[in-house]
Amino acid sequence: MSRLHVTTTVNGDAQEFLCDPGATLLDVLRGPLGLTGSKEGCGSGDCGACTVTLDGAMVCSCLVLAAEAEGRRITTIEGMAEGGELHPLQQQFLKFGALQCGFCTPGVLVAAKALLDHNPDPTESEARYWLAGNLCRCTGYDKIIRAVMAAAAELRQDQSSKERSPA
Amino acid sequence: MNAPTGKLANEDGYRVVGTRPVRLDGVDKVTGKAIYGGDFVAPGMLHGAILRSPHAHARIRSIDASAAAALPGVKAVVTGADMPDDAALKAADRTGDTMAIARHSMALDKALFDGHAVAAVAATSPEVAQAALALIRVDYEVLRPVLSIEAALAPDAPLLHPGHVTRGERPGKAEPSNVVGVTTHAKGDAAAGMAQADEVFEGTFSTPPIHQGYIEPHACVAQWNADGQAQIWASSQGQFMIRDQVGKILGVALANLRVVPLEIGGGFGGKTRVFLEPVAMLLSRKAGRPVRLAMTRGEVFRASGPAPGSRTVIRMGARRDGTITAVELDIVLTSGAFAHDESGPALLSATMPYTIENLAFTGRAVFMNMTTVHAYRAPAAPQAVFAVESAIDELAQRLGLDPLDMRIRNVARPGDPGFSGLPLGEVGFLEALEAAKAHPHWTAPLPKGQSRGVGAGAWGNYGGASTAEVSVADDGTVLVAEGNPDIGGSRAGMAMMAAETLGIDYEQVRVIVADTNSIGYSMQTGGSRTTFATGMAVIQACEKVIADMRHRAAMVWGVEDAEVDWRDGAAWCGSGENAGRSLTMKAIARRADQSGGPIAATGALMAQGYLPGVGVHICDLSVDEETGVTTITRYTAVQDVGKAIHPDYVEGQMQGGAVQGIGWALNEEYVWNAAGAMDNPGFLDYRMPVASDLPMIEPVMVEKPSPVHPFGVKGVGEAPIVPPLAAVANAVSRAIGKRMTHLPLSPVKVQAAAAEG
Amino acid sequence: MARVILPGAVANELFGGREEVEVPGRTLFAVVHALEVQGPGFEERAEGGGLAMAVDGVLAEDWSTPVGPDSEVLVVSRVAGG
Repeated sequence: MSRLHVTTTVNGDAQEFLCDPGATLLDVLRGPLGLTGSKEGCGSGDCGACTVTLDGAMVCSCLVLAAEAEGRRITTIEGMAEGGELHPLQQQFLKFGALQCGFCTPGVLVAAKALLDHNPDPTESEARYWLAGNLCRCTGYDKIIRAVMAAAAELRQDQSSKERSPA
Repeated sequence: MNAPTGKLANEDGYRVVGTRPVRLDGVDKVTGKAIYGGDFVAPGMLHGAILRSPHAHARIRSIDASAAAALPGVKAVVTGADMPDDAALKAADRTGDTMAIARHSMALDKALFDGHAVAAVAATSPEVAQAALALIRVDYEVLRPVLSIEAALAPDAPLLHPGHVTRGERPGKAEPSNVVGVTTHAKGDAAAGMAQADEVFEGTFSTPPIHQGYIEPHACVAQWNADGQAQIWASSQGQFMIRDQVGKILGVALANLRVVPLEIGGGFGGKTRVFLEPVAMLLSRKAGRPVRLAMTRGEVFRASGPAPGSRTVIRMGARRDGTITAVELDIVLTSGAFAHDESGPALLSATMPYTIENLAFTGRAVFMNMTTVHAYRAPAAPQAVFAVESAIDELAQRLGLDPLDMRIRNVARPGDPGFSGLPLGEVGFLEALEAAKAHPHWTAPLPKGQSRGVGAGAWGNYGGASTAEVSVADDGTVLVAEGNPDIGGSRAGMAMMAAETLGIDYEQVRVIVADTNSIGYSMQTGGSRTTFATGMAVIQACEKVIADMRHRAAMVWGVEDAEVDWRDGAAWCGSGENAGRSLTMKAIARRADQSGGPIAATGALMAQGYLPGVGVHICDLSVDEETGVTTITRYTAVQDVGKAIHPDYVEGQMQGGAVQGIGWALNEEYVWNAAGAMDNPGFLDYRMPVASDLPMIEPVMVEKPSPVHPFGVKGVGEAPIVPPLAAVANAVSRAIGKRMTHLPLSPVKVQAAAAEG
Repeated sequence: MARVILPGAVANELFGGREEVEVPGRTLFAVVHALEVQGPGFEERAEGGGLAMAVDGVLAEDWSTPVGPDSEVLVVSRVAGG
């Protein structure tokens, strides 16, 4: 079986890899690309631990063929912080204790960022429904939702101060 | 939310304990850098894969793996014949479960469940490994499977283990059967007590097997060298547990087997035994290279260790004033393919929060053609307590009593004889019940169309062996090494207890979870023991370090050790010409070489002081009788937590355990087809709670410190899963006016019950 | 002689159903050894961690705990957790 050559962009960096036709995006992220932050919890798109964005849209990378990454932009948890500066979502998760084992956390954070990019002022219910595809077995979701709401508020505050005093 | 700089004291006078600092491993976990079981890569690593029986019960007549072994890229093939034989396994461990663990990990002559490992390969890529599995020919003789408790107990039931002698019985007394063991407990005179009752409830309750549902599947890398030395990198609840179990199974000397703990993505009891490691080791020895073995989600459901299903017959009698006069309980739990008998913990926890004069309990576990069950957070307590707390609710209704008042009337108090007859210590059962009663949730008017249920249940912390090492670096910062995997923030708790003991800031302490060659033995993370027992070891080591530093300061000042105080992270001179002077940790550490050498100490102990904590949960919900869907609208979890070292993580245990219990009550169950294959081995159809199913879970911590722990810690991790099954079922029962006795309360069941009228 | 009370399962499996046994011994080490003589296999069970012992109402992990001539030793099953 001959392998496919794929050229793509991950977290802003040009990447290329060889893969079997049946390989998933999750497989290549964790394998040849060495980005193990995205996790395999189920391999069937039901747990959300593998959540990444593909051209800005939230997807389960275990349901995307690696070959589909050709020419597209992927962001993973490894691309969320800016250099050494944590994203407000990451900071609020730490502040609220919104993780226990931390295994679902990368997927939840990517999904939560996708939420706030799409809707900067979600209600609690909207946040819960958006994150319904991200299973967490440790926390019961309470502190996760609180952290997401707090990060949303912080980002709205940052945004309005930027708007008040443009650089 | 960050720790104060140590100058402010909270209401207990602590500077660090009781605050909510950010956890030490936090940045790694929110940036995807933390290395979990499946993330670890060893150079030259091969990929393992396991062939699993598609039959629930079958004799393995032969296995032909020659074509697989010949496939290019395949470096090793293993079957049950490569495992030590029965005699060797029995010799390694005559009374424990070594043989059961070994044979579950790889079948020998019988496949005992759909998913039972029958062969394994190691290859240069996952694709080659899967191709190799497809080339293995297994000749099965399919046997009639045993797929329910009733089937297991039937007189003509096929026997999974014909040679098994039922535990707990007189030798030679019991006929061969599928009963793994029998446990009984009696107190007073149950028949007489029942006769004294004004009201008696009798019912049969059942729960199906369910899974702990950790999001991280099992994974490990093993490397077994030709000279007999081995390493295993794995996520688990205990690296020493892995060493012990693998060492016994494969006859490896413990010092030859180094187990390195990786981060763990949830366990809840399900990762307190090995499944893959013995097989990975055998593959590695044959191949001469490290081998990774991991489970897919389907394999996790089919072949790891879910919680037992149960069938409980209960009779409970009470007087008009609510005093429970007698409880008769007969519980049968599934054990699965091999022996794992949880009837002991079931009986122990059934009525733990209460002092009842007359009890007659029987517990049994039965073999069944499903994967062997294993511990799940307060093992067997939720199942037993579901029946007990439902009975209390029913009697309270019939007697017209407030359900919390009835529980308070029967509550066990400090000094009351506990299950074993020994007096209970400083339990906070009454305080927790009263806190629930005083909580606004209890008296809030019920919104229209909603109903309210309450449940209580307790679990005690294990003590056990823990080791910790504390050392002070030249710059005065402190390093703690301990041996307990961090499943919920315990590293932060250890750092906080060390900082508090030493009188320094939290940020000056770093904690690592060390491998089995780098730290003395520690019993695994589970049993609600880690903050309690390993905390005590950390504190003990810190106290030795303090004594050492006081001594070094005394030498500097030319005074006796006894004249040196330790306060606020410094030694203070109490007498002589240097009276009033102090030396900080940094100042003392800088001169370590000149004052006796490195500053380091070990705490190693058997922690004692078993003390159960109780959870009391209040649940409001609405039931849509047309669809049968239950929606939780408000949930309050009250618990006696002893002393919360880090309140966020204690609250997290309470919230997480409550939600696991809600899933257990409403949706989760193993479903098998008629042939005994699991129909729902995935998260789509094994339905766990998601964020949109739930409201906020309000945690209420009642702090009644344990007298035996320096900071008053009681174990908190397991108790929260015990009350919710009954809290939810009691609310649903009240909603539809019918006692719900068979979990889960899925929409189909609830709709049918509501329609019956 | 110390009076030893055994849990039902252990009594049935190793001591012919006797739940109360009298044995000599001035420490738990000695008591365990004496119990092994009457019920072979007891020592291995006790070492394995599945059983705990209390002397006169106090749980004792340390087998050097003294046992008096009229002491009561309660043997209980130990439950770990998950």
